[in-house]
Amino acid sequence: MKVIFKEYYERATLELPYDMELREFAYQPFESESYVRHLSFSNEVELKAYLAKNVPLHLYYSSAKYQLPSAKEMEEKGWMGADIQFDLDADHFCNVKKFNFCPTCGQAVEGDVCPRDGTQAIEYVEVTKECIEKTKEKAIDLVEILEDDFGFKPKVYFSGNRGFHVIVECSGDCALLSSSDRKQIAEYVMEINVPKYRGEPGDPGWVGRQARGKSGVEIDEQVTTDVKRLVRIPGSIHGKSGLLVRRVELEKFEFSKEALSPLKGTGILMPFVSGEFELIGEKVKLREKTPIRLDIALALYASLKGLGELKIYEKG
Amino acid sequence: MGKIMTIMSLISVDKYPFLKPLEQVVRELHGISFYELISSNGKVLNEAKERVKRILDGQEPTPFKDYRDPALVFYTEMVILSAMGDKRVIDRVLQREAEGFVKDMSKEREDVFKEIVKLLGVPLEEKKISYHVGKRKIELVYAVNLLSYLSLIRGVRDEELNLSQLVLSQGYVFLSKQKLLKLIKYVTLERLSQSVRPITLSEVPETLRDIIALRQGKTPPCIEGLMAKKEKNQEEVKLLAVYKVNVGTDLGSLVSFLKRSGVENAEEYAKELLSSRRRYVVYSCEKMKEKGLCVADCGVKNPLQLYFGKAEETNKNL
Repeated sequence: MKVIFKEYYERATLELPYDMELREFAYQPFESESYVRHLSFSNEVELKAYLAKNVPLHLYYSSAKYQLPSAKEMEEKGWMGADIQFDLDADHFCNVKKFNFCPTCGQAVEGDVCPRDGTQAIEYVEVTKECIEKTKEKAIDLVEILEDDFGFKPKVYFSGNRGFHVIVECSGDCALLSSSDRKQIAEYVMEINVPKYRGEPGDPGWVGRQARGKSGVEIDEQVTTDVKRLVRIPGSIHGKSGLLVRRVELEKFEFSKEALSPLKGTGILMPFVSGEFELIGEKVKLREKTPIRLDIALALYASLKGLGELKIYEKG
Repeated sequence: MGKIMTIMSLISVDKYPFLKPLEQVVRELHGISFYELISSNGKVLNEAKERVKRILDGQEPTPFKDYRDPALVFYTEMVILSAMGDKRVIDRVLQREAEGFVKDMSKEREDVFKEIVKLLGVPLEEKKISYHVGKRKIELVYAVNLLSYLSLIRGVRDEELNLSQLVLSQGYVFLSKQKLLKLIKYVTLERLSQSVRPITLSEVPETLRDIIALRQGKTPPCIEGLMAKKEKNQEEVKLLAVYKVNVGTDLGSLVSFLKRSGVENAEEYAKELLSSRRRYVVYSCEKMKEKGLCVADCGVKNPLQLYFGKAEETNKNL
């Protein structure tokens, strides 16, 4: 799997901020739970040279800009402001299918450990196409609020896994908004403490929005109020799905392997579990310990979700 | 340009003396320093003292414009508050003054009102928006750009001014006059607060020493007793340090007290105490009794009540 990621990053086009020298970069390596942080790069060439030697499972830069992004202590970095970030996660908008199973015996288990094999259970969370569609609708609402009410020009990204990241690039006073300022924005977006208006659909702000039957957008408030957050780099691969973090036009967005996977070819998956699963919007039947040839995007996705092990990758 | 000049000439700094910079007030004294003036000009000083007294009494203070020199009275009032150093008194007086100024502003001609609001640092823009409440159409004509608005309400704990309670459009926050008046009350209060600065004893003119005496005359007997004790244990030193923080001691004095008391890393400790001022409060009288530190029945529940007194009592001494 690491080879797949390595090969991808050799040819990847990463969408980097124009002021990348002011950002902290971080990544989670394969076979490690912890992050490598406080990295700093002046340009894309430097970054890619680093990635060739240090293959990331997850790759980030900071929403904040720093005088010394590579300083080890936050206080020494010299915070110079931050973009505003919004996270929409599919599991906020629909009931996702969730269960634990044992990768050894393939049986569903209660709790974290299989009582029969003593193996650490794997939690599988299934995000359906329908669920991503609902999240997309909410992301459209969010963009409308940010544009119409706040006058922002947000950029929307598929998170690479099960939601969307909406980023407002900031400089000047916008970048210097404090955490409490951002909380005000977050609460407005979520319609917290907004009065009940009796307006008309064409009215501005929440007055009109309520009249149009719209409600608040549930975002991860902590992400928005945090002024030192890490942002997944657009163009990088999400290590829990194998899909790209990618800038999207919401109206045209489609949750499919064709649109979101950077890979071509097929893979052989050795499933840990039997059942029918929805992988990147496609129904796939798996039988425990019975190898199955799948499109590489589906095989990698299933493998990163813990449903099996990717045995072979045949490039297309 | 001409129109703005005309509007500016309609703004009365006699009514709103805080709009007149102190530097200008001093310049107009032709060489006499402000402190020299309040040390010698009994009239201004008495007017300012009387003003504070009336406010603390809950009475209507004299309108500033009725004083011979409103700006001098205003800045003297600020020096009095600084010298008193009593947060509750300062808050109460400034709150009343801000309310008074805003009440007067609300009665100004619309163009004059808007100009005063801008002078206060609220960047009002000529934009309007309307929305409906049932069949009724509401028009909002006061607009402030979002980023400025957020910086203006920073630290304001008034839900009515939260973004969620307001109409936003295209990066502007639209306000009703009632909400704008609420906003400028906080802005004015902030502006007034900046005129009240802690001042050292040496800076206080002789004519205000009576106020300082008032400030220093209420050290609780339990604290006095502890201060006089030669060998203080760790808890007693901490208790005194917290007391000092509560009564507004500056960093330097706190550090020197801690050093004298043999505390290691005195500076670090002092900074921690000062940065968390809200979290540390001196023991209640009940706790002091439990610990055997209470030495007199003062009729209060916390030693700090003796130091600060009740605002009404402070006022008697003015």
